[in-house]
Amino acid sequence: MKAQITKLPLLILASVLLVSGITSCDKIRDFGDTNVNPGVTSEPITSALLTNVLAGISGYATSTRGGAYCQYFSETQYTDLSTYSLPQLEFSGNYSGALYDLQNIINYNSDPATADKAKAFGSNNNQIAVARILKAYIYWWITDQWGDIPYSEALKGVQPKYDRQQDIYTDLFKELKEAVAQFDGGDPFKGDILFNGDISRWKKFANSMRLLMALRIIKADAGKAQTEAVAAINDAGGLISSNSDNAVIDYPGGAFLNPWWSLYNGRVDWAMSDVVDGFFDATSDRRALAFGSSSIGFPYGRDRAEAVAFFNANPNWARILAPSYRTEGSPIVLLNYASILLARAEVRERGWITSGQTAAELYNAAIQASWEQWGVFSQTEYNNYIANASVAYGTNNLQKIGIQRWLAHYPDGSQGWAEWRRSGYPALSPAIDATNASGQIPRRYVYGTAEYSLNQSGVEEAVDRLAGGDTQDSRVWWDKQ
Amino acid sequence: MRKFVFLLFAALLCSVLVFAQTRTISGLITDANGKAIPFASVTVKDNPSVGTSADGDGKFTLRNVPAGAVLVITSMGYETREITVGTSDVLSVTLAASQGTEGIEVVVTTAFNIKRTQRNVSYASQNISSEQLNIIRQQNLNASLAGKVAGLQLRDQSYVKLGSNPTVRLRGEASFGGSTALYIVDGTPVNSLDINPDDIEDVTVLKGVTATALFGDRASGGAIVVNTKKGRKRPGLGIEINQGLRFDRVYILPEYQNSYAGGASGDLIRFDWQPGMPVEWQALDGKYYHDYTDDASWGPRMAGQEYIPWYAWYPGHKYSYQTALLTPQKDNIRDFYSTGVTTNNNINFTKVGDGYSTRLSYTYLNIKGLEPNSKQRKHTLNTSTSFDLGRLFKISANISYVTEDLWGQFADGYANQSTGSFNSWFHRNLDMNIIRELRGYRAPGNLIASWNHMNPGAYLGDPNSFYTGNYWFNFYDYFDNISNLNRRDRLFGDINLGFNLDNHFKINAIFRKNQVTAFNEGRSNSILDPKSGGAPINNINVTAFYATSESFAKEDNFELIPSYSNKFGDVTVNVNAGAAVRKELSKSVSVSTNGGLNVPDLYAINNSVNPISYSNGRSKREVRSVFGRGDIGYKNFVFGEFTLRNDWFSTLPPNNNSILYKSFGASFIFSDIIKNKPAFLSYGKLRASWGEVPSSLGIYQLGFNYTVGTDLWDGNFLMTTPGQIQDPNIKGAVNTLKEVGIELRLFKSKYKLDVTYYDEVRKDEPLALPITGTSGFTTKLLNVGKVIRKGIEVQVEARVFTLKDFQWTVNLNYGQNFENTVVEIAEGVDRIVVSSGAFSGSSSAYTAHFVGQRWGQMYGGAIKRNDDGIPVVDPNSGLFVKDPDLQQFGSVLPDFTGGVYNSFTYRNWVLNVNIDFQRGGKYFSLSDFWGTFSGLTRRTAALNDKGIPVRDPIGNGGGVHVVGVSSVDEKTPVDMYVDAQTYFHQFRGAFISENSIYDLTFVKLREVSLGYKIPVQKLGISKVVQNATFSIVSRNPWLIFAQNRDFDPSEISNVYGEDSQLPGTRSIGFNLTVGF
Repeated sequence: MKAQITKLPLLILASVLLVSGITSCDKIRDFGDTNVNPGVTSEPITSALLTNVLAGISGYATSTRGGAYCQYFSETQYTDLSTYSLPQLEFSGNYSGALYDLQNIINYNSDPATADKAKAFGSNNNQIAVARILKAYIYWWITDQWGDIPYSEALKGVQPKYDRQQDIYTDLFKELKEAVAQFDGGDPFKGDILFNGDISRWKKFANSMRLLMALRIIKADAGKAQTEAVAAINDAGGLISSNSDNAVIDYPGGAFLNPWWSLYNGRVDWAMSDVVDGFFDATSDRRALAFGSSSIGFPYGRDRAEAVAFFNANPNWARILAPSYRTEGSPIVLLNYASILLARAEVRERGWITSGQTAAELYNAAIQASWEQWGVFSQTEYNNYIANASVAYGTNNLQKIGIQRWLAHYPDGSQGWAEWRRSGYPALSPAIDATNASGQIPRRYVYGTAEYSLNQSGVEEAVDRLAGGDTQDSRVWWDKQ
Repeated sequence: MRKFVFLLFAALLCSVLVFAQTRTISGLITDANGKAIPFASVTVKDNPSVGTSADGDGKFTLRNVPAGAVLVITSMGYETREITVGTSDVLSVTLAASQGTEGIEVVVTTAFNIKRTQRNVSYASQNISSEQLNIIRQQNLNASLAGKVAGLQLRDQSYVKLGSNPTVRLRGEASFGGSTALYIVDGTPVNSLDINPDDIEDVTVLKGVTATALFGDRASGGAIVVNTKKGRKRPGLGIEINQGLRFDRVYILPEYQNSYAGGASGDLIRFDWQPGMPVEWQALDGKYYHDYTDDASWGPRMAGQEYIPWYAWYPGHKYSYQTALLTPQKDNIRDFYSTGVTTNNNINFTKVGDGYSTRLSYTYLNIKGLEPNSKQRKHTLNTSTSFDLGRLFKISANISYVTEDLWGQFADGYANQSTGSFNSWFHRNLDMNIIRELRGYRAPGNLIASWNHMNPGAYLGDPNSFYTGNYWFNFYDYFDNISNLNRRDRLFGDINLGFNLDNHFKINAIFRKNQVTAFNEGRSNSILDPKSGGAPINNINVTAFYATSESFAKEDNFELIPSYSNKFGDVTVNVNAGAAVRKELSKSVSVSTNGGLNVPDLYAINNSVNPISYSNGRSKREVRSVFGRGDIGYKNFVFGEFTLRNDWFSTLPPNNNSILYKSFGASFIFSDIIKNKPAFLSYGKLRASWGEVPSSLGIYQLGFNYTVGTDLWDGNFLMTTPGQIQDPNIKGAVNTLKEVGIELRLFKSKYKLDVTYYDEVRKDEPLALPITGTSGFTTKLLNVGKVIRKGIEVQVEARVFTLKDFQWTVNLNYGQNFENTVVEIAEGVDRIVVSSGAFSGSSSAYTAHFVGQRWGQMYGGAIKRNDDGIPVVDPNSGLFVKDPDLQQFGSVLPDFTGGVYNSFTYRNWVLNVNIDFQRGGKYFSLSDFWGTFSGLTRRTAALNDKGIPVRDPIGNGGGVHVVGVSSVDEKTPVDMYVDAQTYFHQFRGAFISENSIYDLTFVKLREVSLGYKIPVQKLGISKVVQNATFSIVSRNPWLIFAQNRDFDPSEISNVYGEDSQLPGTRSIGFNLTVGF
């Protein structure tokens, strides 16, 4: 009996514990905030999304691959890339990264449920307009490298189809035009580390981009090229009209480092090519002081043994940019005045516009602007330079404009490569030791393997439209023979 | 559920109302070695209705025992004993082993530490004894399971990589992401890394979900259940000492070419002294050197000719300015590694007395690694104690405390500075002994001298950039100037309060804990970061840094488990029910300098050049459960059982966070009812079961959350949009398994056979499915797919000889995964890439799941072939054309795995030999891929079909012979020779990985031990020493077979293969066990 008495309270306790635990099923399923991550927030701050996009935007203007293809740069030892190993690359990170951040800004400012909240970081229209312009810049870059890409159905959380490059260009022209018109008098977008909230500069940036894009399609659709170029030039928002209007990312240094500085912070795989140097030697171009760390351009497109031999014999071969142009805090130029002047010169040369400054004036101004951009302008030497037979405007004008565009975009290899592809200027010979089957300079990037895994139907439809298949020798729509 | 629990309590109350009598007897039942015998039956001879069973630890409490009663104690495999109850209420019973035909009961430990006998479980379970597990004392539990469990694949790691935890794969894979087994020690979930082999009594491996159904969501990959050693009765002082000493040397290395020296140039280069160069170099004027700058081995043929070695250029040491002979150094990489020395010392004490038993064990493992400056020190203190508190209560505790310090950098990723370059980038002419001799040597400018410096012309540009390495340091100097310490303190164990209400009913309340605190401290010294004018002067990506991190993680489990067992005539019933709560918490902080150190060699966070990096992590999870299980037996030959468990997960959507899952099984000892049982059949059992096990979500996988960046850009903060979206209907899921098996024991149990067939379906697994980033997101969390796996497992145990002086026992384990198919993934998705290595965007191969194919297909770039399978070749260059589509090369899962374990005993000698094997499965070797690109592998210096070295000029009959069809029409034959370097470079250039994909097939002699039982009686020391055994042991003595012997296929580090495999090792050692 004694034992019975001692076990009874325990038994009751146990049963109460168990039964109460099970019967109160509502409590058993309620974990409060156990699964709420304390380190994150469910509310986006659109200004911080914008800063995030802009902090990475210079990646598009500092592509060593594009620079290798347009022969700005040489590799110093492992020359695979500049002897044209397969450029099979993914673009999806651009979408899930910067592009969706921008789309998110647009969504958050458009959705009536959140638009009011979003106003804390700038007027809804101003935020959307900025996001549209930056989206256009990134899409422009992606389509120029690969050709047909996901566009109209992209960024919607579903597997998108691939749009034709022609349709993408058409829509980008529209987007830029509408975005410029969309800015209102409200608060500018906060977190704008590109133009610091200066809406007039956003408009100039958008119109300038539109002008360059228009010229890019000249072989594929001359009519559209002309319409868009003229419209861009005549837009009330204006174009980049001085070097102080340039789209420039000013690196603060510290946590955010200039990409060219970072390129040499560890390895020395890249050099200014002897091709660039060749132009300087022929013309006494003052930009030689800025484009490389020395006047020893590195031989372009050689095999490894030759590169190594040159490397050892010429220890002071030219690094990309003189050191003062690639400090931790050096700026990166996305679009510059010189290239816009050259585009205007081309428009004038082609007779699409027949008034205002002449093509020669614009051309000469462009060279001056470029020299000034690099801080190497000297009137005397400039006069000598533009008098040089291979520079002086008058004959082979489109070629000269093309060569100056190529120089003006340096070191933005993506622009340099695209301009070379569409214009053929300057005349570039493929790498001597090219390893690809065709031996030719690549004309596009090949779709990444992830696309074949994750969007096979989409990518295959796009590949079917490529005359030569998904190779680096196939040409994108605007790149006509 | 609710109803069931109430019924249970009704039963409980009824049983309590039975009138108690006067005496209660408790006791412990052990075998002749003092080891507890579980589940022995204890009954009063005159009144069989008064009876009980001992528990899994051999303990029993029997009430209502009349004075002077005789207790009958029976257990299968032991002689029955009758004991008359005397004055003591506490009994200590030793049973002698019987010569019965069925052998002793094997205990199966299941969820919540509930113990069953193998006789009455309805699913496959395999029990490995401590002796079999510790043939040699492996450094961790997983390593010692290889070859000993049917259906188990060990994915081991090189012994060079100290502190690594090899992974175990049971029955192939059912989860898309791959799953790991749940490790349980005495009922407590723990990390397998800290289970001390010295403290293991036995291990039960539960492979299928019917066996693991009660363990919850973490056991969907199987459960490995460890029982630690408990107090046992031992003669003498009860002290045992185990001492082990082992030496490891590098065993498996790739076969290198030993004909050509380093560099990119096939010719020696003449050195012409120039003004401005050190005058001492004039001694070398006109002599020849090979290209040092390039770190490949496409250099000149090594023919014993005079040349200037890399070190001759450096002043002030004994080889300065002297030439040497260019000769192959075929063991240069082997020479780099030193001998690893492992000592393992264990001392343990045990005592059992009336009402208590205790064991205390301390183990010290000390490993001096094979890499410079690497070492591991691990202390394990383990104790387990139980007390009877009066007659009703019993309290027990198992506690392990582990502390480990691990020094070293064990990098097996591509191109790491430590040892990863050896098989990817290296010079075949380097004399490692001279590299070692020059350890600590400093070149002018206080630079670390390197075999990979620039060629002499570079001196004129900048002497510093000449003297320093281009890509690599002297490896020894690198190791001497880094430091990486990982410290871990882990505490785990349980406290269990048991309450016996009567002979049939008890309640256990258990608290379990697994807690770990850890810190890491790492640094690179400033000398590894030489700068000139603020800019690095070489291509070595090492930045001086200091980093530290600390973390804390714990898991607490609370369990309340009433149990009831009784016998009603021929029917036995066991029922458990309970409730459990699991709470996990983790916190971590890590911080490191960035961009270098302002003050050289000041290792402090505030000495960072750029803003520091820091992060902190916090997470919580809770799972609440109620469960019930029961089994019923009839005449001890027919058994049925069920489990039922409901879990609520904090990680699932709050409105749908409950998962109910169940299992049923039955087994039938048919040998007991066959009337004219053939004489050879000692025992025969059939079993069948069906069960479910849930899968849940990880912590914080739900929601759409933005992360704020650490650094400000001119006062602006940054935020990123998350990359994952989720299906609003995301939920947990269950996978289901059917399993049948047969067990036979033949010829007086001399031969035992156990065969299991399983058929498992995993559906709707919650998975972060990779989606195209063009959707705006990289993954989508949803319930996906269906994977089925079917296979067979066979265990054979044969006591081939059982003579007085000679015994030979063979154990064979075999597991074949007939089918492991990905049936579906998600709508419109036909494949998922799950794993890839370095260069994942380009040259590497991938592991991907394809609908309709075996799990984990290796796939990657391949040579294009025409319809007849002939390679398509560019007729101008002779280079292969790459197939535009990536090709599948087969699954990474082996077809079958197994092992054979032989034990021979002759008088005092015991020889144990464990061989394990595996057939099929693929891996990609990035080392082989780059080693071929770099001219290191043997095939880059082979002879062609004309008998001429492939590296000789084509005009001289050299070159690689290429036969194929022209890429123009894919018909015209192409037959030509291609320059070797061009040929071997093309695979990297075009991203063709097919030449570096190999089979995981192997046969390996993994463990051998030869032991001698020292005859303590004969030596006359038996008063002091109870027993003593001396053994010679060896780990990995012989890789008997492998398709590619360059790497140990049992030690491939990743699912897709390896990026920079550390070499396989083998060891010889000694072990001494002495009992006092």
